[in-house]
Amino acid sequence: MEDENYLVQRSQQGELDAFNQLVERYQGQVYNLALRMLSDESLAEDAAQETFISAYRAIGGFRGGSFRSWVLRIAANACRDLLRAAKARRSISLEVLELTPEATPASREESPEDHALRLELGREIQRGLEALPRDQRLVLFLIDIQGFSYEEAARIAQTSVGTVRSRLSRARSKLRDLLQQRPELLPSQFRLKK
Amino acid sequence: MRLFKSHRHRRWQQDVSAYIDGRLEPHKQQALEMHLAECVSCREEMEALRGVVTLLHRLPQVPVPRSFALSEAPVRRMGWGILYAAPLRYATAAAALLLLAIAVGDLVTDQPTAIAPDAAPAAERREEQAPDEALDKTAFTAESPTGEGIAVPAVTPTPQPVGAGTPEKAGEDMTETALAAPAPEELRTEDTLFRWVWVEVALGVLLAVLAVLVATQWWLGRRRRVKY
Repeated sequence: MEDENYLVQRSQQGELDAFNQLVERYQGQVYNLALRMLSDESLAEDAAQETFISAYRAIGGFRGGSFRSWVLRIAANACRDLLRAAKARRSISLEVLELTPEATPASREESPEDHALRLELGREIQRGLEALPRDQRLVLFLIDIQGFSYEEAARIAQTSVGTVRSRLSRARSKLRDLLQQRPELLPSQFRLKK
Repeated sequence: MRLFKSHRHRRWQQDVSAYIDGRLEPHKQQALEMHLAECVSCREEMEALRGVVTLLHRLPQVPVPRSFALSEAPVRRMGWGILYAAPLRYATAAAALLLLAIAVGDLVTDQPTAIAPDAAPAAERREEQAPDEALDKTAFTAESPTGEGIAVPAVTPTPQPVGAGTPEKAGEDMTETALAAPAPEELRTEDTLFRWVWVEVALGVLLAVLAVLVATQWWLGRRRRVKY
């Protein structure tokens, strides 16, 4: 695997092949961020494509640091713009994102009932994510789903680590309260005792 | 009833989230651990919160439906603003520095020496001859020591015989005729000053134009800039 800095440098000189290697490397994270933020596969595709086009155009101004943070920041801004436009057109789908069976294959040990419950839990989590304010949703996605550090999440969300910490706390608490309304979906150890 | 929402326990809410991630400051961590040791409900709340985090960690990564690799290079925005951005900035900086240097030179010396080295001795001599009268550097008329205003052509000084206006001569014989007609050095000084004022004005105008261009270019670039 080629060094990221070298790929960035070649991309800055206009080499599309080098840039596409970076795209292949980060398109999963960009698409998943867009999907969780927009809850619409078609919009998420648009956001991901727009992100990489914008990144290619702007890479001349990239001054080092984490390329991943940089491109995810572009993605977060693209989602924000798309959400704003979709809200204006009121065209955003209210359908909750279905996690495809390919994304969550049933294991051999898992019974059909458990598999259905897991899918239902996935939908419930997505509903909970959608109920969160956009800024809290972004931070929760970055830290709890993508596993980023507080510092990297702060860079992507363009805010301070302290703000990330408080947004994350509020987002987790809200999601916990929402999920506790459907305790039958939760693994027993996560249920609150009455 | 959510115990965290009660006033007594609410203060721990944010700390618990950071505690789960190991991001709590040591002194707060100690205080929270002491509280958790004696508060069952807060312990349960923390476990429920930890459960949510675990569930989120387990969420699968959705595979991309297609490749987002670019088939052809999108046109990079290279308008005139970007092409001329650097030269414009350099030209503006150069004009500003030049103007500043001239202004500082004027203020520090209060003499045109920096501009026309040959003009300084003449000005000094003139002050010796008429100490009460300050030499008006920007005026188009020069006053004789007798107080009579004499119109001085700005660009066409009165022709003088060669050698008639040398410093030695001017210092020695101070006749009425000599006093009535300004010395060639004075004429040259005022002529140089006159020209230099126009250089300053021209530089000022150039600087203003360049500043407007730079500001316009910055504003256009800001509108087009990709947010990242």
